[in-house]
Amino acid sequence: METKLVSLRRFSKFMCLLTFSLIFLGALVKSTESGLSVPDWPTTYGKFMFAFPLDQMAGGIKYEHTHRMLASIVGLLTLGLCIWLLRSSVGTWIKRLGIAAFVAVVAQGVLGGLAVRYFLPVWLSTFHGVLAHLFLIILIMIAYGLSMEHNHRRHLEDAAEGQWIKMVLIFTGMVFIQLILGNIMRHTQSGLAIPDFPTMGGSLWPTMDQAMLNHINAWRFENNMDPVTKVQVHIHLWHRIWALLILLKLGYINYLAYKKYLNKPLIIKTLFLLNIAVALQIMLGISTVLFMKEVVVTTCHVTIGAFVLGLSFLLLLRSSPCTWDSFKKQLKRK
Amino acid sequence: MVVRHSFVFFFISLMSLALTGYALASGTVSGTIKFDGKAPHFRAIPMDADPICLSLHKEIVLPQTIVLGNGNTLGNVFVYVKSGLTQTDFPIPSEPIVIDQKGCNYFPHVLGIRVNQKVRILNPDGTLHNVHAMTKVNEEFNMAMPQFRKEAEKIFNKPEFMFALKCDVHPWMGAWIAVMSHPYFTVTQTDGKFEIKGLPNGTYEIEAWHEKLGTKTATITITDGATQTSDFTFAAPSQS
Repeated sequence: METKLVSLRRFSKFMCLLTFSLIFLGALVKSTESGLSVPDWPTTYGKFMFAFPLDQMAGGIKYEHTHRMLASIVGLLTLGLCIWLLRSSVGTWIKRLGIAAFVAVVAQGVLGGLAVRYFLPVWLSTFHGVLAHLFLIILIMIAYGLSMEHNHRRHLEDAAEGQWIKMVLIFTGMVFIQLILGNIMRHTQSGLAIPDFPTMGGSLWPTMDQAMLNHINAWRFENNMDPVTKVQVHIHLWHRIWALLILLKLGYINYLAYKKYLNKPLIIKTLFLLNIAVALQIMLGISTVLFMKEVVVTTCHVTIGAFVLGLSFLLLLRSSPCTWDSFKKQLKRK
Repeated sequence: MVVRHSFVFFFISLMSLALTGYALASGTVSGTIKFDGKAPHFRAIPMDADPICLSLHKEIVLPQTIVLGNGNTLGNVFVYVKSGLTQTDFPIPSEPIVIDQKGCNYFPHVLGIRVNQKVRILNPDGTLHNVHAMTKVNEEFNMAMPQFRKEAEKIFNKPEFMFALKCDVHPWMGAWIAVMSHPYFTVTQTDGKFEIKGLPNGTYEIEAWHEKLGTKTATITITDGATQTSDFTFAAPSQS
């Protein structure tokens, strides 16, 4: 019985890793603008997906088709995880999460297919990107729920204070909103709507007037890009502003941790990793602009974004009590 | 009496001929299109994304967005009669328009077709393309063209001014299509010259369209089948 649980535990962690890979591939599809390089779905150029010849995977097809194949594997494995959880002796809430993961992965697959069928409408593509992160969060919850650490912590009263949990919860929410903003930015082609850094449209603070738009569009013309509108500039600007707010919030969380939780190694370790991930993410964001959305840099920016979300959520899980009721009570406490 | 009748007949015939001549007089609008400013910095198209595309080129290939000739003349500008035509029905050409995906690029890069005119899309490269018409008025399609499918045919049944045609397998491949309800349009070559013939007498608004530089318009009047000249200069977007 214990051996089965160990395998399940490992399998759930493997699923998290696989999902990160899938997010990386999805980001690669967008970075190379190859989302419609396979015009049909669920077939690939009329063939069953796994029967499509590898030697024909040229150009954008290699990204889109690999993404589809890995997504199908993740979908099948999620079904396996769900069945495994339902047949195991784990708690009801984890079983429910298993069902939620399966529903999410099916919805994600259908959304991906519809996005292809309807020629990538912005809202559908954005939702596809956002749901990927929700699916990742569900998997992280499952993996954490099955972990030795969670099992150990269930018997301890080691949750952090309500104020800390609220801070981390708000931080995780802010990261999630940033990922939504990032998705909107990518799918509205606003990634280089402000093409300079640290200046914005030629000045330290964007004036958001016609002169700024002319400045940006002249730069874009010189680099053979299409002109942008003020709406696109606003979307891009909000992504930058939100990144700054996240950085400030993380600074405050570090300050709180330094004051109160130096004796909690789980929290400190996770926070340390989160700091590194956020620093890397900001560097990648800046590089995305400076290297004019170079494919690898942009793709890594999206993937590390998912990693920051995952770590924030893990920090929340590690700070919180192990049951939902205790979590709610802890939040109400000062 | 006979002489008087003959004179009336001669006069009527002369007037008819004159009126017919006036109505049939067809003028021409011509001109040259130039570009004023610094051309964009082009990066070579990454043909190595597909080994077949790469094998079809010995030298680097640049985007076709700004194509300049001697004296900064501008190619790939679509020039057409925007308004002023009184005639609404024009025969549809039986000859199809050909779009060639040669060397993993579209030729021509900018083209006009007529409503309901056949469009033949060729795939001579021996690689896999998808042809994605990003229409707003006509029905959007994304058609697979595997290696074995050397030719496809499409018809656009509604007028639509400018939509992009692209291949998502090779994201650099892009063309622009205008579906026109009349035959008075042309696309400039590298020499920037254009000529629209056969315009009946009248006043017309002529528009020149470029994918990156926007539009320029001019009003011209055709009388007695004369040729009118209308030159356009597109300026690069300025920072001010």
